[in-house]
Amino acid sequence: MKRCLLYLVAAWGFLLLQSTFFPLFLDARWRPNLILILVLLLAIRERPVPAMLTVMLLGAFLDSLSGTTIGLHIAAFLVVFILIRLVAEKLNVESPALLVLILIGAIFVHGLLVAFIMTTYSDLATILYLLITTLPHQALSTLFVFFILVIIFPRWLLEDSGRSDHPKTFRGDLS
Amino acid sequence: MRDLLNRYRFYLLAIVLLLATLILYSYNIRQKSITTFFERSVLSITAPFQLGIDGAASAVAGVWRDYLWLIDTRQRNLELAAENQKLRARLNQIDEVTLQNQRLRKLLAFVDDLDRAALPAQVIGEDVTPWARTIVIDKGTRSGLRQGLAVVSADGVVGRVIKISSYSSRVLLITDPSSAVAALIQDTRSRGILRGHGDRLSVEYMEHDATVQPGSLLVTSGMGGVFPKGLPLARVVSKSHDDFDLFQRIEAVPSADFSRLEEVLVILGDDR
Repeated sequence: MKRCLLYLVAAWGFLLLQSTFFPLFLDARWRPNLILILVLLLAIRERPVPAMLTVMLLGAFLDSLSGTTIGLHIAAFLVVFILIRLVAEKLNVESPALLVLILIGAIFVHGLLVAFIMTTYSDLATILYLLITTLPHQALSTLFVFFILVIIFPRWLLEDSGRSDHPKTFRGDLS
Repeated sequence: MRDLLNRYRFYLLAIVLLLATLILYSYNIRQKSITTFFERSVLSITAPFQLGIDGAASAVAGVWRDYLWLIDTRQRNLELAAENQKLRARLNQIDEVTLQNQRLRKLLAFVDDLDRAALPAQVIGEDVTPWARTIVIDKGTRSGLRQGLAVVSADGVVGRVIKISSYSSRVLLITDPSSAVAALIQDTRSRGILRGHGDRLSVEYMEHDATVQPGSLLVTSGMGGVFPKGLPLARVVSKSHDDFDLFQRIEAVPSADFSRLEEVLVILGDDR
C-alpha cells in the first residue's frame, strides 16, 4: 500500500513536470512519457493486484490532465501492464538491457493502443498519423529520462524489491 | 476447472477490469461535456502547483539572466555593477510589464471589436500527452466560466473550454485532432470545416468550385454557437484538388501563435 502511494506521488510529480516544466524547453513530440516508466516498474517489481489498481489510477490521472476522455489511458495502461507481466514471466527482467527493450516496446504498444482505441470509438483517423510520428521522439526522450533515473536511483530501478513472488507462483499470486 | 480459475485468477480479473474500463470510456465519450468529480478534483489540486511551477521557472530564468549579467559587469566595476544590476532588474521588470501591457491592450482592442464580455486568463499548463493539444488556464467556475466558452488571443481563435474546475479550466485548441470549427473564407464567404492535425490545420468540405487562394483568411462562421462570427482562425497555405473530387484539399496555419500563448481571453458569450 505504502509503495503504491509512493508510485502515485511520483506520478503526480511527473505529470506536473510534463504539463508545466517540459513545455518550457521541449517541443510537444519530444516530451517523455514518464508514467510509462512507472507502469513498467509496477508490472515487474510490485504485487500484481495492488499494482494493477495503481496502474488504473495512473491512467485516470493522465486522462484527467490531458485532453482525452476518462478511460482511454486506463485501458491502454492496463493492456501494457498485462503484456509486461506476461513477458516478465518468460524473461529475466533483472537485466537492465532487457528493461530498456521492454520500455521501448511498451511506448510503441501504448501509442498504438491509444490510436486504436481512439479511432475505434471516436472515428478520429487524423490522430493515427500524429501519434505514430511522435512515437520515435517520445521513445528517445523517455529512454533518456529512464537512464537519468537509473543513474540517480539505481536500487529502485534495477533491483527486485517489492514483488516477492517466486517464479513458480507468479501466475496466480494475488497477494 | 477450479484449479484453472485459480491459476489464471489475476488475468481473468485484469480482463474484467479492462472490459469495464472500455465500457466506462465508451460511456464517457457520450458524456464528454460533463466534467466528472474525479477530473474536477485532479484539476483543482494540480492547478495551484502548475501556477507555482510556472512562476518559479520564470523567476529562475530571471535570476539566471541577472547572474550572467552580473559576472560580465563585475569585470569592469564592482560598485557600478551592483547599482547597474538593480537598475537593470527594475528595467527588466518594467520591460516585462510594458510587454504584458501591450499584449493586454491588444487583447482589449480585440474585445472592443468583439463587443462581447470577455475575461482575461493566464496559461498555466499544457497537455501531458505529446499528441493532444490542450492548455490549462487559471480561471474556472468561480470566475464565471463554463464548458463550451470560446477562448481567443489577440491574433485569433485559440479554442474552447472543455473541462472546468473551480479555479482552472482545460481548453481544447483548434489544432487538436478532435477539434472541428465551422469556417468561412473571408473574401469569398465559401464555407468549410476547419480541422486540427497537431501543428497544422486542414479545411474539409470546401466545395470544388469555391475560390480559395493561398493567403486567404479563414474566419469563424458563427455556426454551432460556440464562436462568434468573424473571428480570425487561420490562413490558407496551399490548396489542391483532382477533377473527380467533390471537395478541395486545403492546408492552413493558425492565426494565433500557440507556441507563445501566455494570456488569453475567454469570451463569456453574452452580448454587451
